[in-house]
Amino acid sequence: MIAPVSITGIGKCVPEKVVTNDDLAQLVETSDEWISKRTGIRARHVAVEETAIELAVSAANSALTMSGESPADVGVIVACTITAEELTPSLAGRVQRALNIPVCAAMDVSAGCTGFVYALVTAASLMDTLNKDVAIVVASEVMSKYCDWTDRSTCVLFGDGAGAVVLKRSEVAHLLHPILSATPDVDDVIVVKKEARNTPFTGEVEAKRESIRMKGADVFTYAVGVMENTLNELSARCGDHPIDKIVPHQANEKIIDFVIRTMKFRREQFFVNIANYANTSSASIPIALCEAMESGWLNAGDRVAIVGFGSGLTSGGAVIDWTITNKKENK
Amino acid sequence: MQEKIIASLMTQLDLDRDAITMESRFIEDFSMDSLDMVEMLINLEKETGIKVPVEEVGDIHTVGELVKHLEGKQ
Repeated sequence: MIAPVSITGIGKCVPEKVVTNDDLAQLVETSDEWISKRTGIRARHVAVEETAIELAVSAANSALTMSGESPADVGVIVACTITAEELTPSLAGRVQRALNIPVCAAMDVSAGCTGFVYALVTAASLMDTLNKDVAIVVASEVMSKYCDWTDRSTCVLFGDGAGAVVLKRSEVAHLLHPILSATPDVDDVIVVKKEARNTPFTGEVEAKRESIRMKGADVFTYAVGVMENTLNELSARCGDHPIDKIVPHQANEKIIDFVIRTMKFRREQFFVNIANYANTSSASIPIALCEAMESGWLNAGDRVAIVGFGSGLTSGGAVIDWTITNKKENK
Repeated sequence: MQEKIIASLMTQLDLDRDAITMESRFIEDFSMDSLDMVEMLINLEKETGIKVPVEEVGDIHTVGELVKHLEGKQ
């Protein structure tokens, strides 16, 4: 069971440095046209000084501030990351310390780019199990540290950033119909070895260390299949109260375009911000949710589906009845 | 089979019927990349029930060659 909750705060944080496709064309044989045509990506934020922990703390702090909850109210922190600097303690533990949260349950989940969906459902489940009223869910990734910056087929795809939400127990459930799934990755379709590396922006690039390895065609086939299945299942579960909007994992615009073409959703129902962020792995959905709300695209009363897929091979989705009013928009 | 493939390409690439011939080349004429090819194969599998692994199309360069390949798997 998951507790009946609503999202009462949301925040994001991205590194200051923006790396454009033209910048990457100075490093590897590529071009803005080649990258943008194949992926929809035009730029990405890359951490130079910032760490995954710092990005997570900043995003979580913004979400907590928006929610109006005090640190002492937080009963659960669930973080997700595949790129945090420390194997232990957990990223959640670091967020707890930085935000002066005295006592709570704190743990990380690892589910690749689906991490935020897993973390969201895990947090709501723990709120029910532990009888807690407030949770922080935070995703933070510094994918740039794990890219092979000599491999033009992968280094152009990723970016860094963090996003977070605060869940508050509510009388009516606003987080609905969670779906979590995984299929054995028998062909090592997406693998990231745990070995941080330099980037062209932090030091000398070492070419032959282990880094992100991906089989693009297999990932595409898996991604479009699970996105269709998850959205179909969420739609069926929603019954007479259909999904208004969709915030998908931002991996490649071609994946999103395919799903739009083959399903009964309209393009304007999808929020896509991959052009400015690239694939930030588990952070992509909360960053997109936050930007969607800040831009006025996502409003209180909207029924929004989130859907993700990633290494594992994992997939997941959920429906959120959005309750936060964009105060900036209404001023 | 020929018409199914042409119809699928028209939808995927937003092309007119006249723009697609048996001699049309996927890369040179339609600017398709590897993910476009995967998308085409997924669409064709849905349409015809015939599964074509992407590694099988390495030597297929034209619409006509793809028609022949799929007809051979029927």
